[in-house]
Amino acid sequence: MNSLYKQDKGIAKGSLADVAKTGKTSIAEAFISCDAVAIVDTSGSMAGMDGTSKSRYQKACAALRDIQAAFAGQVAVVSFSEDATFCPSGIPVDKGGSTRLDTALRFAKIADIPGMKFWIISDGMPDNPDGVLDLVKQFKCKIDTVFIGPDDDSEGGREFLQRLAKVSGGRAEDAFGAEGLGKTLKLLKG
Amino acid sequence: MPSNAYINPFSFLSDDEYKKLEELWLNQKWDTIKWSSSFRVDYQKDVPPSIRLELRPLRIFYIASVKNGYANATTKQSIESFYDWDILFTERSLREWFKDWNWENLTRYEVLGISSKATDNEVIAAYRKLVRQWHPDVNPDPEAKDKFIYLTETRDLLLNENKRARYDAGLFLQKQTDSEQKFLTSTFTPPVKCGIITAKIRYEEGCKPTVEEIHEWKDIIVNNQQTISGWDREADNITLIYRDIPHHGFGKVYK
Repeated sequence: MNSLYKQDKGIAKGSLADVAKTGKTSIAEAFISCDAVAIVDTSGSMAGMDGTSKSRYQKACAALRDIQAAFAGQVAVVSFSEDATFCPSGIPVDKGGSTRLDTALRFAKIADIPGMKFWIISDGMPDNPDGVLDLVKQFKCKIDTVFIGPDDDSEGGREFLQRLAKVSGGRAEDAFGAEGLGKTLKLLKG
Repeated sequence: MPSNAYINPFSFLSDDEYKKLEELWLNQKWDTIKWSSSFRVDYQKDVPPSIRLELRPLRIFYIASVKNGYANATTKQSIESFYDWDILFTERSLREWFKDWNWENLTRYEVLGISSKATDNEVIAAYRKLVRQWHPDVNPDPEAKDKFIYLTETRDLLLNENKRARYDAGLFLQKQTDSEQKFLTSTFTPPVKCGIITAKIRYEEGCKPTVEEIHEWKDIIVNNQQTISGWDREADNITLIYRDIPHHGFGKVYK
């Protein structure tokens, strides 16, 4: 059963897959022009609606669609929950479960190349916060974080993401319940 | 896997069986002759009976761009049983066999015939060797100019440290892509053609037989025309279509 209320499907315009298909090339070739990796939380809590008609996951998908359309071929998407999944379609894949940000960072480390930006988009505390911070220290590139959880963040997710960004030398942004995620990503993209 | 060294893919057949196979090819009697089970051999005898691999000849009438995330091409084993897709091809098996047909389906390392760990000097040496072959001034092939440009792009990409690192990361991520994403994002188009092949096939209970590795492919040529097949759902049978033998532009035609 889908834990995120409604799974987004298809290929986002401007995603790596879209660029590869249009250019009749491979995903690997398309990745050469990529300068940002969005690491997106798809754990169970992302199904939270925050009193609106759409889940945090759906809002994240919409914001990611916008940013990829605006910057075609420049943003790669990796989703994570129990494990990490590369999503060339530009739409985070929901696999449900816990928040293994450490696994996602290990997975995304391959793209830790000069000039690359990393954005962690999450609404909560990861399963292994100390392990995550140890991994962040190994990254050469800065990691920005975007909190998309509720205002009353009892778990301390917002604070953790701020700490993570500080360790990395990146920026910590608050998308105010995912509503402002699109604007925040455009700001980070620069 | 295709190889420069000739290895008889039918070595598992007895002389009599091979002779019979040759007669079938030469006489083109596929519609009437049923394939003998004597052509079947156990490829790995130690696998459980529910999952077995066999190396066997097949008559292939059609490969379509069907994608299901596991086997991105489908074919017809028998022209008589046209209602069902009999055998699935893994995308990998097709890519590996037909890779010389389309450089875009190869990695940049494969284009130059070098390892992904190749040094700059090795990249340059491989480029120089190939560019002598594909320079439009010496190669009259109409695709030579495109190949020359592609080779030069490949060299420039692999000699640029940052771009090469991104490309390597892209290759890694591409390999990690799960089946659903592969289904959504595949850019591979299988060839549409008929042939007689030998292939390593996986038989698994509840699944359609799947070609894991093509060992030999012989195009079906009739009156100097390549045979391909069309499949109209309204029709009673598959329609065989003949077309001029295409020029593949890579100096190698599989027979």
